Amino acid sequence: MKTFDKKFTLLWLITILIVFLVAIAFGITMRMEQAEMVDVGPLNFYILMTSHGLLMAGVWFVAGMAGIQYILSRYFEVPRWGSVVAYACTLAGVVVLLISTFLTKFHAGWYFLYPLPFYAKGADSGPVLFLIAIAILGAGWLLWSLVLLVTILRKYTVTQALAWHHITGRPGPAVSPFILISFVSLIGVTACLLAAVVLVILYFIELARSGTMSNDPLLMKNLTFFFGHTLVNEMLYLGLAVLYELFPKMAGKPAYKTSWYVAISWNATLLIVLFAYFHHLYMDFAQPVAFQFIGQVMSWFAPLPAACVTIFSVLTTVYRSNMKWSLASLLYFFGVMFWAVGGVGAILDAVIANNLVLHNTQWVPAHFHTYNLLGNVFFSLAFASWFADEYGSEKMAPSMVKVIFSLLVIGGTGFVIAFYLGGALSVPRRVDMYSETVDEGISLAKMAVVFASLYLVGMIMYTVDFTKRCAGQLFS
Amino acid sequence: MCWAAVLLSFLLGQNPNEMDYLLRKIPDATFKTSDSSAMHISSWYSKKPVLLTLAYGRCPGVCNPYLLQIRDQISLLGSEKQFQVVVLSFDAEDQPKQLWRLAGFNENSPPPANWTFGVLEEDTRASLLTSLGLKTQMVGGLYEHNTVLALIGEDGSILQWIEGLPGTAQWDRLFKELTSEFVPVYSTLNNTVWTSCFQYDPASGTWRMSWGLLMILGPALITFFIIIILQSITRNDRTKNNSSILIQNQL
Amino acid sequence: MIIQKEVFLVFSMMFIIIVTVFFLVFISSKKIGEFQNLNRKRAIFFFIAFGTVLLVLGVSLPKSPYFLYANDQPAQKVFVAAKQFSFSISKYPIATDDDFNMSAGAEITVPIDEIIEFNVSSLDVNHGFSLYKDGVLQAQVQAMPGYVNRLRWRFSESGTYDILCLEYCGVAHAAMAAKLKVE
Repeated sequence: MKTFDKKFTLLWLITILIVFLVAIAFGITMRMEQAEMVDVGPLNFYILMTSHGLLMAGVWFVAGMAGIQYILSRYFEVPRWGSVVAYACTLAGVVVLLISTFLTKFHAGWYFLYPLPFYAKGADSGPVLFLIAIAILGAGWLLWSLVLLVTILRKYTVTQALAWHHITGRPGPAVSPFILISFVSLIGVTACLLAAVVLVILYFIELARSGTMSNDPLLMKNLTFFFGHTLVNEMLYLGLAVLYELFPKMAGKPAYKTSWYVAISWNATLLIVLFAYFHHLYMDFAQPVAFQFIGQVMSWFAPLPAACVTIFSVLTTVYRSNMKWSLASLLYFFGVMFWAVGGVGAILDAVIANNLVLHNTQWVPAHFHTYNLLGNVFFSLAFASWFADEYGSEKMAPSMVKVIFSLLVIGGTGFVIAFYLGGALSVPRRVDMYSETVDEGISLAKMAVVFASLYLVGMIMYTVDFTKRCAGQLFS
Repeated sequence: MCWAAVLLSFLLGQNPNEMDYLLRKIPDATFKTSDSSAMHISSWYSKKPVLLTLAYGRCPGVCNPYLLQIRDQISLLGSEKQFQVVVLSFDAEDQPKQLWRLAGFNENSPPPANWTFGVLEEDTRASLLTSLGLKTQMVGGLYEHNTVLALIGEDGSILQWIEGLPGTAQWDRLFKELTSEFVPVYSTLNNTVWTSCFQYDPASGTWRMSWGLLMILGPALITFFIIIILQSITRNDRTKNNSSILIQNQL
Repeated sequence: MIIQKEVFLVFSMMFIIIVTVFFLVFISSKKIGEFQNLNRKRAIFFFIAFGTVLLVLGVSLPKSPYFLYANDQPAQKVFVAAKQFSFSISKYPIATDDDFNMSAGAEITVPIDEIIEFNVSSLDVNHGFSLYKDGVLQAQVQAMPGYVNRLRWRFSESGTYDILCLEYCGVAHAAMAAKLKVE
């Protein structure tokens, strides 16, 4: 095993864990403000909201990428500079982001819905700095995903990497599900980051030609969610690619093979994911109805290939496997469970008729926190745990496994249930305080603070344990 | 000239300018009716929607066929009591009754109650013409002018604006608005917007794809080409590695 | 039953089913054995999922709000404009800041059991127009600058409805609200 890849992955993981802790603290502060336990004021609330959103989306995206990079490096020679440049860009981007939010008081939300950045800008330089942060992050990540695509393409042709020969039965090199899913996800990542590039360029043109040119809000909204939704969706698949590689070995089963239905599933996913984002625009009646219907159909078909195949594979792998559970395998197994739960919440919201009363209520953060906080984060933490078990100074103590896992699951579940209840009770999302109409939100926020704190404690213990076991490797 | 303008606007089929007029209020102009009394337009539009158009009696060209066509179309609609057709002359020399002729009415078959003819008073004429986008030019004692048909809402704002002879789809939408049928949405984008993914088509009240849609398709298309390019620049590496690939996969 | 409660019920049921299945499989992992008839069970699993998706799509798509009361005649048109951080509601179109100020703060009353057509737009950023009755969200539509979204709605209960902004629009977003009377 090449030491550089190991060390750099370790650097990524430690950075990710630290930024995650900071972003959780932002989140808890927001829930405390809503619970009227602290008083940071609306401006600071929305500054925290903007920072929390982009940090979380960013940090778990790079976590997925770091996992892919590491597993790829076990097979092939992966150019190092892609990961290094991405690391530098991520750090620089986060710094500029935090300057734009905390110093220049930019507070338009991480998805910066046009034309809000020109209104919720704080200082005049706020939107400029924020867009620069997005541009730095986008450029670094785009480069990274291109480097990884090249790495795969140096071994396989496009049709081979998409495992088409596994569908047609033609001869060709065996392509593992890991390669297939990584390739599919990286293509999606490239597309959505390019959408971010277009978006940022349009913003800069409007900034440069102030007053004489403006953009179409509907076009900008489409671009925003093409970028935002697809990025968050693909980062989950990055985590899954690593799961396909590591999980069967943890269960003591032979590695997953790319069968015809796995190949078809992920090829279908490649297309479906690009159209699912339309569900963010259901309540914009200006969007043609055909697009809305495509949105609902694609949102409902999206889980069929990817989720059904994965869930079924994971269940049958564990069934009577006599496996020894570690924190990594526990996180993978129950991560898939919560992913399924969050998926149900998501597709219920993706019904246009339901969206009429669920859109922008807490049902939305409810479902995406379920498959991020308890799904995607679990996948990446599982990778990190596996990594620490493999290369750390010692294995995690069994009592520690129990405590950390219980804290994460109980804390996370309670936290998202508060959101689901909020959604069922029509409590809006993205508000710093609850008016009389929706004052149930206050007690739910209190509940969320308690459970999120448990999760935070679990994460602190995880981070300390991880650092203790692995930090030595970094400097060895 | 009149005919050329009408023909052109008919061929174009839709009015890209409608958004400039939509929801703007028209001045409450006064006009003289056939019984010589002065009247405000608001006395009609405050009661029910008004289909407002302008013409002049001596017009040798478009006014007569234009109003005949409007009359034909409205007779197809049937629900006449729901709105008022107001035809105003911008020529001070006109008599209201002269205008009847333009729409095919005369003393023997006078216009029904939901048609009103009048001659605009001097003081508010210019501002009304501007607000409706009606352009006139005196050439050899006669007016050269475009034709505008506007639907005026209860508060005097323009709900629909059609220049030239309305096409079938435009009539369709006009009637839908008059009878309160459902048009889910319309656009009021201003003219500094340089592109959009959907172009609102005022004629049919629906959305058409516009080239701005490429901005959304673009990232996916570019990605496709990037993958193809990456595939071709990595060709040499692949042939070199192909022999060892199966072994590496076993790792 | 209101939609939110139905959705919550379906979700809770699915939650319990999923957790039960995973937990049973987790417990079974202590034993040694093999999963029987893997391919057949996978096919059954997939076809059940596929059938459910088709069924739900077939039932739910026609219920989309874009077609609500599309063939009926609204008794009243109501124009709504949103602007940081208030709503202006009027029986007349609101296209400019002057129109907005004229009807800002005015409370309007609409008839019960009649179809009301809301013409919703925004004069600055994206906002959300939502109708709450006793803290329960009844319907909503986005208020997007440059576009007028029309929502048709029939109020079956009289009283005061709360209108909240449901799209994050800036610092005072949470306080952006208005009222509508239904009699």
